[in-house]
Amino acid sequence: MSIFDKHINLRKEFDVSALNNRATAKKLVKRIESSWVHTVVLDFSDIEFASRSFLDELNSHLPHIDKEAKKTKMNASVREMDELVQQTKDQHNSAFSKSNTQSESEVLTF
Amino acid sequence: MSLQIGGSWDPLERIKELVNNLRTLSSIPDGGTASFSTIDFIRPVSILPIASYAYDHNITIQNANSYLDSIEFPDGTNTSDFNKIGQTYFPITKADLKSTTRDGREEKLRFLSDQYPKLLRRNIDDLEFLDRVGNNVFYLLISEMVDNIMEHSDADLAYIFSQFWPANTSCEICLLDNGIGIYQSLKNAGRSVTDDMDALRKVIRQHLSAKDEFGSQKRGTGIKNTINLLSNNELNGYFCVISGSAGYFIDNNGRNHFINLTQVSWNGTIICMGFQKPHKHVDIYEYIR
Repeated sequence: MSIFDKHINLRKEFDVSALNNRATAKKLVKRIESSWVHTVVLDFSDIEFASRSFLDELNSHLPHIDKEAKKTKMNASVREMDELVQQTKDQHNSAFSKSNTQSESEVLTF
Repeated sequence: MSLQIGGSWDPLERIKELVNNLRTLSSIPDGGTASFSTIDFIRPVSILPIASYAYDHNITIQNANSYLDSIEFPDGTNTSDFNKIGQTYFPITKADLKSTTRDGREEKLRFLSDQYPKLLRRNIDDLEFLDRVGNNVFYLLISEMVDNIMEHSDADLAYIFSQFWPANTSCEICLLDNGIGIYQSLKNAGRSVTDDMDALRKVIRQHLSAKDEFGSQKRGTGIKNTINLLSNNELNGYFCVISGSAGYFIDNNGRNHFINLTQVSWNGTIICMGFQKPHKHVDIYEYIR
């Protein structure tokens, strides 16, 4: 990290141990956008869990931001979710069309 | 008017019983009174919607049950008072989202998705159960559903109530809101849906979502992944959603039903999720797509 990079410790920034929702990701994207530096380091130290929704929202916006965002210090769980989200984004439409295969079920009336 | 909570462990029977109780409540004028004629075994899905309905409609429910007192039925505990909760009881929890800014709403709902799973784990006195489900099962189940409330419900109130039963090492979590429901949320987003059942079918079968991203529709993954996680032979669980006059239930025994609610409708969305102690550590990432 250079002295010209912006460092955001996510645990301290949001005062949470789990990044669980899209709203938090949207706030983070705004924070990155408003930074005056070119590179922002997203520090996941002490973040136990990141939800699919959070990482999907974040990863959707990062390519559209005129900044470089580097994710660091993800634990194994958060890294696995991040990789899953990035993989499924690439396969998004085909995956959904294939997954729509559940059989029709009896409709109950209560 | 009397409500009944029986003794069945079958979650689908409990959903049927809940619908009957909601029908009974809906026949009572606002400000009226109801009572329980039977209280056998209380599950979150049996009691949380009744608590919420009674609060919204100012219905007094005569209550002579010490367990209901201990979970603070029907008013519950507000999220702001949660630091008072000890190890001996785990009450109905309510997030009052009225008259707050968007940031205020998000803060209260963030509490549910961040702090609530930790408190729930703290109240489960079975280390093997906790080790096998890890933190992530609780985070995934609760956070995805709370995120839906945050993003789509326009609700004034959100509730959560959970129970763990040591005797058969199973857990049930019920969340609900009194918002606009799935059909109206999709309609407001311009999706082609005709009624509650059509909307729910499209959410479950086609993963339709109200979310847009850079001008195109996004597919919903929260419910899909939650169902994947629960309806397998690791967690041996079940999932149910009720919104408006439509419902859906699935479990690991192959039961998979849409449900028409007759003469009753829920203004908002009810989610019920249950699971049992798995035989080994559960890797949630095997179920996320």
